[in-house]
Amino acid sequence: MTAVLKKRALAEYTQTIQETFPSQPIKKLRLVKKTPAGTGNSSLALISCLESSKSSSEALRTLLRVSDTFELEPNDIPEAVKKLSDHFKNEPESAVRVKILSLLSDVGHLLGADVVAIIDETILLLKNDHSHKVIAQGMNTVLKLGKLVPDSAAALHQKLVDIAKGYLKDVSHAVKCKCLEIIGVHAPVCTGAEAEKLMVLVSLYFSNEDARVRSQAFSTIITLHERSFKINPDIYVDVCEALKDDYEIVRQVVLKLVCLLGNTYPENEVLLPGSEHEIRLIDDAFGKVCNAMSDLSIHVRTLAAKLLGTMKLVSAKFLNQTLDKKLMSNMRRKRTAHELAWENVTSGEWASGKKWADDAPREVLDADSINLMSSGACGAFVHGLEDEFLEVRSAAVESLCELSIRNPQFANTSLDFLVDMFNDEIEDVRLKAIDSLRRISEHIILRDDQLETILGALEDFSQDVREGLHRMLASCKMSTTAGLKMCVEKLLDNLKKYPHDKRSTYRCLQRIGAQHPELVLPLVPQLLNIHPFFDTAEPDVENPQYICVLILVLNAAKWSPTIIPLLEPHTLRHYAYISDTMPTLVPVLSLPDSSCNAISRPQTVPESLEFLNNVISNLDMTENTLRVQTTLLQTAKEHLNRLSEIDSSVAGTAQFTSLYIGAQLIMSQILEKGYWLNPATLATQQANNLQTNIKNLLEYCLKLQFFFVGFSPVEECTVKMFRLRALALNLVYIVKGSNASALAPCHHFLTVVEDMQRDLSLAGLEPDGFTAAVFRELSVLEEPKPGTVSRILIPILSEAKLVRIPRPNTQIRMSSAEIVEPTGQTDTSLKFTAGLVMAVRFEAELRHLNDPSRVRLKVKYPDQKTQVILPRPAHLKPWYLDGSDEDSQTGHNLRLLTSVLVSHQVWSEACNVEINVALAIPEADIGKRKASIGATPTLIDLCKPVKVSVAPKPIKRTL
Amino acid sequence: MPDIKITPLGAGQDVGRSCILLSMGGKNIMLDCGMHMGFNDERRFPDFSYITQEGPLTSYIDCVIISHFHLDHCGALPYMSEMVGYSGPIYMTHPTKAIAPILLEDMRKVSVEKKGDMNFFTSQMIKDCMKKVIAVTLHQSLMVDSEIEIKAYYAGHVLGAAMFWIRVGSQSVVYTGDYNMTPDRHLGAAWIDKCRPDLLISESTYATTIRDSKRCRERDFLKKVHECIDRGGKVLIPVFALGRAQELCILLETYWERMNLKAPVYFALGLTEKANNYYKMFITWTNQKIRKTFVQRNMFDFKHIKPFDRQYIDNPGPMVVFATPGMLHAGLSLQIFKKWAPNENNMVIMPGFCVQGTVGHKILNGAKRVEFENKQIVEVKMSVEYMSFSAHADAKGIMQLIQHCEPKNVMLVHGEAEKMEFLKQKIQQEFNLNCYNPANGETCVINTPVKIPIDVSLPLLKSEAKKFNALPPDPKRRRTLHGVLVMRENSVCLMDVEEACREAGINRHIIRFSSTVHINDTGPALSTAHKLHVFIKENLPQWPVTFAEGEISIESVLVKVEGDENEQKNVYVSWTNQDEDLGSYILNMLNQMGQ
Repeated sequence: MTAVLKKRALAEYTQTIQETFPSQPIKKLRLVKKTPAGTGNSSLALISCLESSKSSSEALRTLLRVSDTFELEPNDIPEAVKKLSDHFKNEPESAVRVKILSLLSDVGHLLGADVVAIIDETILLLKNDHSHKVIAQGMNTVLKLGKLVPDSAAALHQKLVDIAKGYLKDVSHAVKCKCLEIIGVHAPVCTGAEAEKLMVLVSLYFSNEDARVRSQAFSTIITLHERSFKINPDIYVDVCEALKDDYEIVRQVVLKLVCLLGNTYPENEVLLPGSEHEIRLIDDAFGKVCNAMSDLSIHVRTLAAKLLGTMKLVSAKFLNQTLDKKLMSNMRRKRTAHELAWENVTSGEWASGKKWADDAPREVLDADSINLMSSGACGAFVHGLEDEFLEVRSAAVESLCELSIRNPQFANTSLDFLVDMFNDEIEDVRLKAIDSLRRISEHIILRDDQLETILGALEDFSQDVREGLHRMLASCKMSTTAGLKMCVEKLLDNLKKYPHDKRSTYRCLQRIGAQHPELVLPLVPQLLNIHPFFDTAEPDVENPQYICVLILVLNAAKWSPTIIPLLEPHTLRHYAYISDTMPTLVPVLSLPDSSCNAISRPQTVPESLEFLNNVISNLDMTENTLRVQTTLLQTAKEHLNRLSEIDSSVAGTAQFTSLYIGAQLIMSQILEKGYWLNPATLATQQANNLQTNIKNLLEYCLKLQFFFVGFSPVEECTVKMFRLRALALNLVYIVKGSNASALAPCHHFLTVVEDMQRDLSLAGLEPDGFTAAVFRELSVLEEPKPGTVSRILIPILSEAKLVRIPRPNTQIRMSSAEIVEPTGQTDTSLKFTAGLVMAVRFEAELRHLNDPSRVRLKVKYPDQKTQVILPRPAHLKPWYLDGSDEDSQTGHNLRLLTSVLVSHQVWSEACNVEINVALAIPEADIGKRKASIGATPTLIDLCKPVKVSVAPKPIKRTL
Repeated sequence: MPDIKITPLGAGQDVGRSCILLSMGGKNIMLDCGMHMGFNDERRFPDFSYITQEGPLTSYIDCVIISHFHLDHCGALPYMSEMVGYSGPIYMTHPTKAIAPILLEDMRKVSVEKKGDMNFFTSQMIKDCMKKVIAVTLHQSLMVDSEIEIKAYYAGHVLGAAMFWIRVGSQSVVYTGDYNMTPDRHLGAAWIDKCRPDLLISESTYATTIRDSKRCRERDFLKKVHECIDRGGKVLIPVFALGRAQELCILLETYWERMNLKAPVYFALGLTEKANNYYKMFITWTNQKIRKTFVQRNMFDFKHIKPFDRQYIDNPGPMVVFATPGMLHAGLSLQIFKKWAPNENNMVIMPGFCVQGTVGHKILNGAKRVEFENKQIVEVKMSVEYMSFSAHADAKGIMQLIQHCEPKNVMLVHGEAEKMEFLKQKIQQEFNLNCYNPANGETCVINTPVKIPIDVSLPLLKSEAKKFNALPPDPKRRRTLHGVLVMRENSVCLMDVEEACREAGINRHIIRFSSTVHINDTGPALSTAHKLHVFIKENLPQWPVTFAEGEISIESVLVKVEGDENEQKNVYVSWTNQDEDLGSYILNMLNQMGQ
């Protein structure tokens, strides 16, 4: 085993991984897999056919067939290469030769091929060829195969580059392009004069007659840069010339290069044409990229919009110009709507670097002072944001956001533009704008008029937009009480219109309250209807509007102690209620009188992990009788269940352990009673019991396997070994207790054993007692028939002890689902015409999922009919818990937002339909009793079903 | 020197009745044929007598191109084709062909039936005129006859608006019609490739305006409408039946839906319904959003916008009404205006440009009292707003288009003279291009360089390419081609010398010049030759110098040394006619070597 480990350790540090599986005596377990007869050599056979082909078209057909079913044994490769190249030499048709070369490249990619030899062969073949197509393909083959050779083989790469340089003299653009690409990819990393020479060579092709060659020359430079070559910033001027190219493929690449140069040498000085002023290279490059925002081609514009976001070092004055577009109307200076709204925005002349604010705004413009096609960054984002194509607009929004994050002043200017984008016609762009605003919110204090426009968008029909706005509002700062009041009122209004937004609004108001305690304070009496000397009616604590206000006020109260004395007694009572029902939404307040005994309860304590450890180690220490141990396990299970409710940080592992203990309990129960040895003799009652027990056991195994994320290999193997044990039990039971064929379960069991062996060796773990015994016994078995296998298993099973419980691993999280809607609390039943369908809004929050594609919706009708629905991928949205980023979460947290279609024939009265979320496990062991592969997959429920009362009404036949 | 002659019959330093005569390469083309909305006499039509005093125009004009369906661009078409007489081809895009007759018919009704105009074209004439129209699709290259080629580009502005590229021989012109460089709620932005025409004829309605971002304008518009509705006022939006109206409808429709407003929005019926059908059909001409979503829901199926009835004018409560025509010069919009103008709660939003002489123009200039033909005086107390929703390119847009298509000359039409002057200066200043803005009836002559296309035989080109590429790359090296220019009946062709000789059936004679230089150098002739070889190689590093059998050859120049030992050597230098330069250079070199 140590040898294996060592080998693995070594294998990870070298490039080629050729794992020869440990040759343990597992031959007998290997299942007979039919190797498809003869396909291994068919390619070679086909290649051999080439010799006999009479015409070129026949040869081409053969070659096409070869590439369709490409399969070669490593031993046959040299022969295949030889045959191909032999045919190449005698082939008059260039298309066939091209195909042969492309096949050579495929051959080179096979495992065990001698790449260098094939490259040499290709180069040799090309020597006497005159067809441009063939040479181009040859270069392509060389390029691709060269990539397979590690970088350390500099000599080979140098050789490839030299050959490419030779072929650069070819007339055809295709050959030139490939040669330039080879130079870019393969030129050995060098510095100084040598690198300079290479750059000069490539740069000579900047003005080639063919656009494709030009484009490739520029991208070769980019490739070289990526391979840590140093680019001489002097090429910048030449590169900028190429921005005016007629072809968009060139402009695109050049734009990238300009941006690259700008970002690499931001502080270099460049001379402005026509003046003696020098500006920073990044600023100039930024101006150039901005200019490309008004390019003819949408692709160039999209690229330009994207690149702007990467140029973060640009100076502020150029950055601010991107949002400046001087307006005029009939030669009169006009202020933009933004400027009118924001008087203190400094307005200046467009600075192209030549002059900046040297002439102040004037009412009547002097015709000479207007520069219509001003170069530089002027208004680039203004253009980008009103582009015809959403690709450009959304890229522009993203870049605007990227740049704003780094520059608070720019963030403030861009705010108006982002708010304008709330009005975009495409929802994705609107969403992006909202999200961008949220990301830059730390720099921003919203003015009331801005807030007003933002709130205007709240009425949007799309839930995503509204929730995005809620998140955004939650993280923004507001400037005045009036603004806050307007915001709260609007949110409450909106809640009336869209009751689904309840949770999102709560969260929003929670953050708003916590962030603006001083602004909330003067509003408290107004919001809570507190009258100086009259008692007002006590509001309904179930009313969402009232809850909203409470959340706002209570969260503010945490930071502003003067609020609490203002509150009326019933409000304090409601606080107690809310802090119990929605503990995450309200903070812990220290109330003056102990009218309610709120226990301050920290979310997580280190003691809980300690406790968990204790529970588990106690179990290990006791070497008692089975009965005592069972009781101990039972107690431990209860402890753990309770613990998982108390402390969220160890909940996952506590649940896991408790489930594992539960499974062990069932197992020991079955084993202890001993019925499993001769089930045929049991009474029906007992037989049924046993059957259910085994079924339960298998289900526990499935849950252990599929309900958790964050397993380390130890836990994974423990679970699998336990499952193996359960399967063994199941197999014995089937062989002994039923007259059904045990062939399939036996086969399944053997497969699992085989997999187990591989898993253990991969993880480098020792099998437990039971598994080791199984391995040992099975390896000496002659023929794995169900009978013999089960005979072997019986003693192993009955002797094996319970396994140690794995150490707690706090990374583990259990998948769970919470159905938010329907709540199942409404009394009214949903009526619809029988036979037609009705959509029921369904919202659920799924946490810590292993594989989102397993999620299913289960609808169970009162007549026990069950429908399984696969939710549309678009309805499953990633969902980030508060404050957590994408990286920090384990498993997939998802939000399922869909509508369930319910339909049925007429019922006499309303009945409950049960809806719940389940995981589908097609490869489950339970369904494997009979070898019915196409059967319905096993479903394990993720949560309790929610009941929806439904009443299909008969169709009214009235005239 | 070939030239292009342009004479605007309308739209020269003026807005309205666009009609431009273009003649180049011996072909005469009429661009647009519009009418003026501000006049009711013969001035409303272009002065066709400029072309010919008597009789039909067919023999004077090769084709007519209509850029879009606005009446100031196509209103005079039936008059010209049926009443003046023209039977040649007329080109327009498919949507224009579909919608133009509706507008013409509507205008005819207003003029003849309401105003009692005589001497106006009839419905039948419109139909006959439309039969002469040939519809084109975008980017479709179409040969009018063997010499004129036209191609349409997308222009935004209104549905089906197009810019036309016209080529006769080596001369080409782009006529923009009206265009818009910023996309709006229903149309995309104008687009043209780098076609580098000799002349770009551009509209310049907003030559001195740079507009704010359209989003601000939209928000402003919606805010103004919303505020007016909130205070219970009525909003009148005079529009042309087609174009802006649809954009504003889509804008209001989506806003109403988003804000859940209940106030009624009316659209004065008439031709609109028919026109909306065409908007629904020509989805490919609209913007990205509408094109992508029409499968789910055609954006032109309005939910909130209802047809208007005249009785609704006096209805109480807030409402929004779109009514034609857009400049408040006649029809329903004027009627509603008269009723609503005295109430200060109400509002009129002029969403576009108003021609001088219309009521719209007057109130926009702040007139508080408007007098009508029948001495009726209306007090204007309602607020008058101007929202520049007009879909014309602003100054920046015009400059952008010039930048995109890179013309050699620019001409401005369809704009006011003094505004053009500003833009003209700017174009000259910033692009360094000639810019013209002729007045109506003024002919403008633009010289274009003579271009003579020559066929070059392929082998000749290929061999040159091979030779050029074989040398180390140098972007500055000149590329030369040796060949013979062969002129046959109508074609000019550049051929390889050998090939030309073969074709002409003449034996090729080669003229060689030779000269002798005397050199005093002892030793065998061969060693002298070697010395010379080294010398020449040093002096001509760029050239391939070969040495074989005592002869030095550089291209076709031969240098040979003769003479016995210890004697004066004769160096023969000989070269062919093509290498005259090189040969004489070498000879000169040898001559000076001795000194």
